[in-house]
Amino acid sequence: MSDATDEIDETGETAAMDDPATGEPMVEFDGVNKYFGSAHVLKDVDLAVDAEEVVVVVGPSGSGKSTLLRCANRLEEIQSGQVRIAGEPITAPGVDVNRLRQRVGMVFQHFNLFPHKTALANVTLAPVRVRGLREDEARRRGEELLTEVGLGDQLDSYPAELSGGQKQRVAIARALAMDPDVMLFDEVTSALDPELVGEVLEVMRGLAREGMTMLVVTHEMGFAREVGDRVVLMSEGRIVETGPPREFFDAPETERAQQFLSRVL
Amino acid sequence: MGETYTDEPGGEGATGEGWVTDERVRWAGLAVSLLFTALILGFIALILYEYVNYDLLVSVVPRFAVAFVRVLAVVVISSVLAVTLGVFVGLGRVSRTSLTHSIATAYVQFFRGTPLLFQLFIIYLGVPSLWEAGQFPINQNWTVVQDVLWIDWSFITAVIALTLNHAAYVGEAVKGGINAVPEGQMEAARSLGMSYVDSMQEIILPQAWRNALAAIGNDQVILVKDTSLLTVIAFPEILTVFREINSNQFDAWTPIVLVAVTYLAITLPLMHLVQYLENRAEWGRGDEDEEGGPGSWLSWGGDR
Ligand SMILES: Nc1ncnc2c1ncn2[C@@H]1O[C@H](COP(=O)(O)OP(=O)(O)OP(=O)(O)O)[C@@H](O)[C@H]1O
Ligand SMILES: [Mg+2]
Repeated sequence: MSDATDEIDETGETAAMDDPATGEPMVEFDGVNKYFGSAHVLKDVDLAVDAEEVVVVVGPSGSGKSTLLRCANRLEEIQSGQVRIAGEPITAPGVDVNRLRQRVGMVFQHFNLFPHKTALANVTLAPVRVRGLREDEARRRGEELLTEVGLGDQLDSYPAELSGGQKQRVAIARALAMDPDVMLFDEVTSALDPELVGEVLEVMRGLAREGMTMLVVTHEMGFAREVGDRVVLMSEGRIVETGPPREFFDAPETERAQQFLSRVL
Repeated sequence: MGETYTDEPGGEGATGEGWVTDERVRWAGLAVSLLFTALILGFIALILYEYVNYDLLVSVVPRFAVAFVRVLAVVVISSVLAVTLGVFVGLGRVSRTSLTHSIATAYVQFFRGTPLLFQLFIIYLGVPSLWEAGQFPINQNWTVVQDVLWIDWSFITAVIALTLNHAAYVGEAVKGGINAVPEGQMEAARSLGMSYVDSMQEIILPQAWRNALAAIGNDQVILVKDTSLLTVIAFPEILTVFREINSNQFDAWTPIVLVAVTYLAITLPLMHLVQYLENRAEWGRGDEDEEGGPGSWLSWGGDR
């Protein structure tokens, strides 16, 4: 934890800009309730992520962090409330869910790369199939993105030939290739060997610096403190505390947050 | 573990049954397989020297060649159709639309739950009897290759029955293949904005196909052998030729040799084709789960 705090000053100027073109938050949960059968997994969740803001979601296992993220691109349906992407309600009748999902990139804990496609083909598939990009344009953009995440020399490798850290960087490039407005990260370093965590966090840090709107679920408290503009603590399906990282980590208000921090720090 | 580790449960404590070592099992296996090979080769040599009439053999080769061509034609057409239809049956079996799912399930249950011989009769006898006597329109033969390949009602029946029957088995293999693809694959594809159909086509089916290949290949080998049933609908297949020669010439071993050669001439290349397709779908994992060295087709079989 201590080396992460040392780095705060270098990147501390990553401030949120609350001024998107629409004036609307990029992602907005409004009184969201989600049930799995009789299990009430999200309880009246309100959360707004502004454009270019990095919101980090922390909380114990089973508190509903993944479910929250999956509701933001309708991988899960909600039972009441509303989720809006740049002001547009995503559960309204007649919403084209495929068009909506193009604006929301998602990176998974277990990469979920397509094993039968090379790194480059993983990245170019959706832009060609969904956005109708020409093959050569998609290829150029894919090469550019893979180079950006440090994989310019692995374009033709299959996922089985890559390390976990490399796979996760391909997965990030794949999501970025759709030019999303917001990126969702669900414990993207949890499945990695410790020595590979850094390279993935570095890519995310770069994205945050470039002004990407990000909603990040992580157990990396150093990353939350350093890169997050806001930290959100979930517990049993509720948001129990939210605030800037400094306040959240150094002076948590609720007893629940104090308990949580005493366990993870 | 001590230096005398022998892979047994109980490890260093188990002294009583220590004579079953990996090394000895390997030698025993080798000895048994060599003995088996010697017996088989000896038997084949005996048959070829003592029981095969080579004048007869040469004279009946053309009849087997004709049966080979006809069976091959039925197999190729039925197999391509069965695999194609089977993919759709498999998609129906994993469909969340309950009507689609029920129809696919009923289809599979009927064609797997009744004998192929019965299905042949339904089509060969049942369908023409829907017309007034003598009115069934498919009554002539279309000649494709004079005296070798012609298409008549028995040929059409064979293709329809083998296709429908084996599409059910292929469908189950495809269903298993789809279910073995991790859930995250569909989620990743959908999260990129791809439609269900695009995701199936681009992401799920190629992986399901790879998962199902061994089972599908296995079924196509069975399809080849199922053509032996076509003798009951007057289709001159391989065993029909065998029975004619056997009863006319009072010779069993000469046609037996030709029957074996004719079937293997279809099934061995088919097994190699499946192996080739499996190897091609390794996607960078070439070194893992690789099929064993030379002659690996000897180990190819229904147990995988
Ligand atoms: N598909 C599902 N069906 C039924 N229950 C589910 C499903 N997915 C999640 N749950 C339940 O919902 C609750 C929240 O799960 P979720 O995965 O969102 O937690 P999480 O905060 O991401 O936990 P973790 O840190 O372990 O990933 C848990 O109690 C979980 O058992
Ligand atoms: Mg989770």
